[in-house]
Amino acid sequence: MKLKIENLSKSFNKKEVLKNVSFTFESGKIYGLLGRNGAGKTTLFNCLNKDMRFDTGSVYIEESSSSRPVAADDIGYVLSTPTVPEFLTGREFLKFFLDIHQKKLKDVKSTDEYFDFMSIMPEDRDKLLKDYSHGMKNKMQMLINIIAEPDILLLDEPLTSLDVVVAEEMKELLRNIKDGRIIIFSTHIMDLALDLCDEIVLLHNGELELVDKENLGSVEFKEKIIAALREDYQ
Amino acid sequence: MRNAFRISFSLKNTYRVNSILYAIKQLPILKKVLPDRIYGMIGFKIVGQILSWMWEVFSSIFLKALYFGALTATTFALVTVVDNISLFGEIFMHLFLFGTLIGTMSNTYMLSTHRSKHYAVMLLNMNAKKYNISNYIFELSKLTLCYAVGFLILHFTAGVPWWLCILSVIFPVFIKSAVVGYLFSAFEKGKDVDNSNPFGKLTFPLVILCVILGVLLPGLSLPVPYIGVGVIMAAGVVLGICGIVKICKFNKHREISRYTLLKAEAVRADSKQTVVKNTAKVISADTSIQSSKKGFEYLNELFIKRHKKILWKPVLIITAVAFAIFVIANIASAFNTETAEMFNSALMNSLPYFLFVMYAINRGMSYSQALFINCDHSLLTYSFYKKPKNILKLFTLRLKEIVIMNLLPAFIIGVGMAALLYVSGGTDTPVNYLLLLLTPMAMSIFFSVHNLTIYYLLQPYNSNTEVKSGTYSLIMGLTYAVCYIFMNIEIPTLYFGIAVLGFSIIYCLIACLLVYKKAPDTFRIRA
Repeated sequence: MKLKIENLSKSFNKKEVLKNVSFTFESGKIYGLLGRNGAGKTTLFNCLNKDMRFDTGSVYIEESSSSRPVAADDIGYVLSTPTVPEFLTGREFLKFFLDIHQKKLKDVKSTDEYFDFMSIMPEDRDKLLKDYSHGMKNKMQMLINIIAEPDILLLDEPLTSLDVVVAEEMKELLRNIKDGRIIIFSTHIMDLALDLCDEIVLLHNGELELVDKENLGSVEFKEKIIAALREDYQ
Repeated sequence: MRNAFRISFSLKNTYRVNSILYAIKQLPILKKVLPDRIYGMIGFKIVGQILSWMWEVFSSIFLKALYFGALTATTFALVTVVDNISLFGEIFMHLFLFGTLIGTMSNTYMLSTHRSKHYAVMLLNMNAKKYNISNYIFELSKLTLCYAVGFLILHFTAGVPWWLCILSVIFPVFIKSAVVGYLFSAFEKGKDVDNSNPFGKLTFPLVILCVILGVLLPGLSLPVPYIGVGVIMAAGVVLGICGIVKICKFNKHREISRYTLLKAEAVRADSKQTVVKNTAKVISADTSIQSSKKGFEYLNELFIKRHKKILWKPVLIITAVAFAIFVIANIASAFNTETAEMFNSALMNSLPYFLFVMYAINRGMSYSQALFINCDHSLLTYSFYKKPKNILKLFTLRLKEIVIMNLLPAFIIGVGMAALLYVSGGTDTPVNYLLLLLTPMAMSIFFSVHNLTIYYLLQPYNSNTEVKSGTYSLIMGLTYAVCYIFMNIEIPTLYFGIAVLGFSIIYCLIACLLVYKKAPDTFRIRA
């Protein structure tokens, strides 16, 4: 399965944030999306998630040589600031989500099994989500996005504000679920991208560029990325 | 000092010009037409500059003139009450004295916490003493100039003695300086200081005392005589001289400015978050609240049950109050013919007044705000929630809920009015009973549909739960204005009732059709 972006453009007034972006993401890989502040990472995610209309271009999924448009169910989007409905308990949110997707989901597990999978403790499961910590809300948001089994998972700096333990748990989880799906992980932290991601993609000058990782030591590789990103402002 | 003032004035001016341009850029059509470079375009800068100067003149001269006008009007009213025109001058001076004291306790000018000062002192690290003193002199000069003109007119028209007029022109400068001197001393002693609350817990009682003495004494024909006002003002001038000495010696301008600015910034940040915090706070922590439904019905039911405090509780209170009012009105009409006639005439001609009443008691706006902050704000980031069929399903459930919620008080008001018409003497046209019953209900349904469809079609909030749609604010403002205007219009109930019923039915049909057609595209979190 491939996610193909062709000639995608998006401007805000006269500022062209995405310039005829063309790129192919392949399943089974975690892509680290690196770019400077304001480079357009969130705009790209919003366009892929259809939160924002793009000006020109197309986005589609290619499977066994046939292609189809990206549907809402194909995409899971995890934001850096976790957003969960605070008036529900963790269990109620999960139940609501399972109700909505009962026809689509195969092999539905019990709510407790899902909580166990995400290491959410039994004493927290029936608390209102407004009383969850930041890390717990993030886990809940991730859990919902994982259960839906989307083909494409967009992660907008999801580990930035998590403590080290939860961040490590999340990284492990992402490595475990990457088979069969495309994970695009946007971050400012280069070491995190190098540690977790299979491919590094730069978003600079409104374009996506895959960085060749082979035959380069990590210091050289970092310098190459920084040099490329500096060009944005030259 | 002159250079510091020039820089600070220029900064304040830039802040104001950019604020004006920002406001212009929020207007519905202009938003799309005007470029982002507007802040750097000379033509727009000139327009902003002209408007900025107009505001400076307006705030300096017009508002002071308005203040003088209000004092004059109050003086006339009090003179009429005591029926003694010869007290005009004394009552005016009495009001001015207490008004100035209240003004001094509300703003000293010296410790202003305006945003532009925050930028100058906190971010640009300007010399705080030069900033404070130069701006203080500028503000007091404007004030003195305006008062000089005002008291010149007063001297010739009301015969207030010239010595008192001169004293009155300088009194505000000295009394403000006295308070500033007190605040500086308090700060040096490590006490809390506040520009708009110089005496801590005492400020509010002192303001109330000034209001009472300011209005009550002249109302009893006992205004402070000229000589008394003069003595108080002279004492103020003496205190002011002490204050000015303190101001000249004070050397902690940077510290006191940072202290007051940071405090004001914290209050601003807090008030910005207040709605969000308060809306989150009202979620019921009662874990016994459950639902046996499934899917969106489950979500909706839990939302309503956990938000009873801001949804159903006010509805029940409004219903109870409306019930009590109509019971009293019906009893009063049954026993008093004059009251009955008054109510009968009002019911036959003043139904438009109820447009504003129904607008004011409608829970639609609070409902959509709670929906966004506690529910949609988070769930709109999930793709399953944004599917057209899910958006429309939830819209239908929510519409049903808000219509039922608002119908309860509307029904009581309708029944109450129909009963009141009967008790107060009835009508020759029996259809009026039906119209009085149905019109409040139609208005209630109209406002319920209106608030929810506008929310779905314009979704005005961004991810920080700030309203970012100029069109939304404009429509809400227009709705208020129209309802307010109708309050003062008299139309026979027969015509107004039929018109409201017809309009409500057509509006609701069109609004729902629009939501079904457009909401899947418009119901998104604003970028």
